[in-house]
Amino acid sequence: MFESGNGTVAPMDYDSKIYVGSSVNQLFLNLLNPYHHFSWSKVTVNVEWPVFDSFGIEENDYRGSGLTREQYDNITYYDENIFTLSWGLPFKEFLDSKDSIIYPMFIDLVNEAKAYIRYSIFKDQFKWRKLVSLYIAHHLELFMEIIKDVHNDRSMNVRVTDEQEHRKITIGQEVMKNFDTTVYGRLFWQEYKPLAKYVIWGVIE
Amino acid sequence: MIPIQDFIANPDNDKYMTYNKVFHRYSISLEYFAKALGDDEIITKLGGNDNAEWMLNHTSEVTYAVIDSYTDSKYRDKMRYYFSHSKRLREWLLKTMIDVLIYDESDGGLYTAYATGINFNEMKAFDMILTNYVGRMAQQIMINGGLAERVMRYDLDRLSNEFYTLNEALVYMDVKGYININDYYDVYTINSDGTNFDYNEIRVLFNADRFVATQNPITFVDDEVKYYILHNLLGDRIYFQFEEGYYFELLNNDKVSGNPIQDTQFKLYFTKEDKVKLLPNSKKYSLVPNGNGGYVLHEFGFWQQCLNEKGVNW
Repeated sequence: MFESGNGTVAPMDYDSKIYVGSSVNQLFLNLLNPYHHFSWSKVTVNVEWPVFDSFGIEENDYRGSGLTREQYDNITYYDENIFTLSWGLPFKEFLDSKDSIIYPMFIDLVNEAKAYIRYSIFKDQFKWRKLVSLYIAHHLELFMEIIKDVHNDRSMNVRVTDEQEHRKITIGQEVMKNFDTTVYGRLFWQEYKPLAKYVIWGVIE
Repeated sequence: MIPIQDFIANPDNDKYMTYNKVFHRYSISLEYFAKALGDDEIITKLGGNDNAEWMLNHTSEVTYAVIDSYTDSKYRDKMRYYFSHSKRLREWLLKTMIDVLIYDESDGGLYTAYATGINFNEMKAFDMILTNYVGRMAQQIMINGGLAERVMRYDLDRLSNEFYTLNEALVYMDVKGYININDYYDVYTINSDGTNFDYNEIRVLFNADRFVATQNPITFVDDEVKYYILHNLLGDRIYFQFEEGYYFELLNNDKVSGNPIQDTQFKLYFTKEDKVKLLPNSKKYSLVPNGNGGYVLHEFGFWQQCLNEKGVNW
C-alpha cells in the first residue's frame, strides 16, 4: 500500500496517496464486472490525517541535527579555548602550549567526545559544549592523576605505599566507579545518562 | 619541546651562576656570592676562594638532591635537561640556592643537618629530614617555582603543530622531508615575473575544480606576508585575493599582474587525477585530525637530538 522502504506502515507526508485498484478485492471485482467504472478509472484516496512528517534528507539533516554539514561543523567547533572558558579552566595552563604533556591526549579526547556526544541529541550548542567539556575534563583529571603516579606504581623505585593505586571513592558502603570518580564525570553522567541508552538502542541517531 | 620563549640553547656561566657541564648543575658564582648573602666578608670568613667555591658547589649538589626527591627517577635525565635549558627554572634555582646559603649561614643550617643527631647519653636520636638540609623557606621556593613538580610539564621528545587544512600540514611535512608533496598533489610552480607559465593548462585545472590551494603565505614586495582568501575565475584571467586587498592575477596572455610578489616563485596545488598515495606510517610523526576539520602534526625524536648534541648521556 505504501512504500516499504521507510520501515513503517504509517503514511508519510511524501507518500499519503492510496491507489484504489491495487488490492486483491479489487481484482475480483474487475473479473466479475470488467465494465464497472472502478475497473478502468484510477481512483486515489488522499489521506489528510494522520500523516507523519518524513525523515529529513541527509543534506539538510547531517547526523540527524537538522543542519547542513557546514552548519553542523560550524556549530560543533571545539578547541582548547572553548574548553578552558568553561569546565576546562583548571587545565588552562596545561593547554597553553602544544608541547604540553597532555595536549595529544586533549586532541584525542576532542575527537572521541564529538563522536560519543551527538549534537543531534541536544540541538543546543551550549548544552552540547557543556557535556563535551565535562567529558574531556573527567578523562583529563584521571589521566593527570595516573601520570603523576604519586604511589610510584609505575616506577622502578620503591612503592610509596602498599595500597593498590586506583581511583576509588567510597561514599557510605558504595564504591564509586567510572564516571562517578570525578566531579566532572558525575555532572556529565547525570545529564547524559537518561539519553545515552536511547543513543545505544538507535532510537536517537 | 621546551617553548621557544623559555629555551636556553647553550647553558653557560654568567655573573650570577656558573654551569657545571659534567654534572649539568648550576651553582652560584663566586662573584655573586657576597652580594647574594649581603656579606662582603663571606669569602674571607670561609678561608678563601677555594673553600668558597667548594661550599657553593656543595650547596648546589644538596639543592638538586632535594629537588630530585620530588620527582620519580625515570624523569631524572629529562628533568635535569629541563632545569638547565629553561630560563624560568634557572631563575627559580637561583632564588632557591640563595635561600639555602642564607640558611647555611644561620644557626643550624645545612652542615648541622649532616650531624648524626644521636645522643648516646640519653639514648635518643634526632631524626634528620630533607627540610633540615635546605630549610623550610627554600623548600617552599622550590614548590612555588615549579621545581617540585612530579611530572615533566613538557614533552621533550615531541614537537606539535596545528594546521587549519590538510594542504598546509602536507606542505609542512614535505618541507621536513617526511613525504614528497608530489605524491599527494599536482604542483605547479610559477615564476613571479610571469615567465614559465601556461595559462590554458592551469585554467583547465581550475575549470575542472581541481584547485586546492596556493602557496601560503605569499610575500609581497613591501615585505608584507599575506594569506590567501579566495580566487575568482573570470573570462580572461584568474584572480587571487589576499588579505588587506593584496592580489595577483594570472592573465590569458601568460602573464602575472597585480601586486608584485617578492618571492621568485610560488606554487599552486591541484588534486591528483590518479589514486593518491596513503600517508605512510612513521615513527617520526603522527598526523591526527583536531576534531575541527584541521590537523595536528606530532613530530618525535627530539630527545635523541638533545642527547646527540650534548655528546654525553644525561
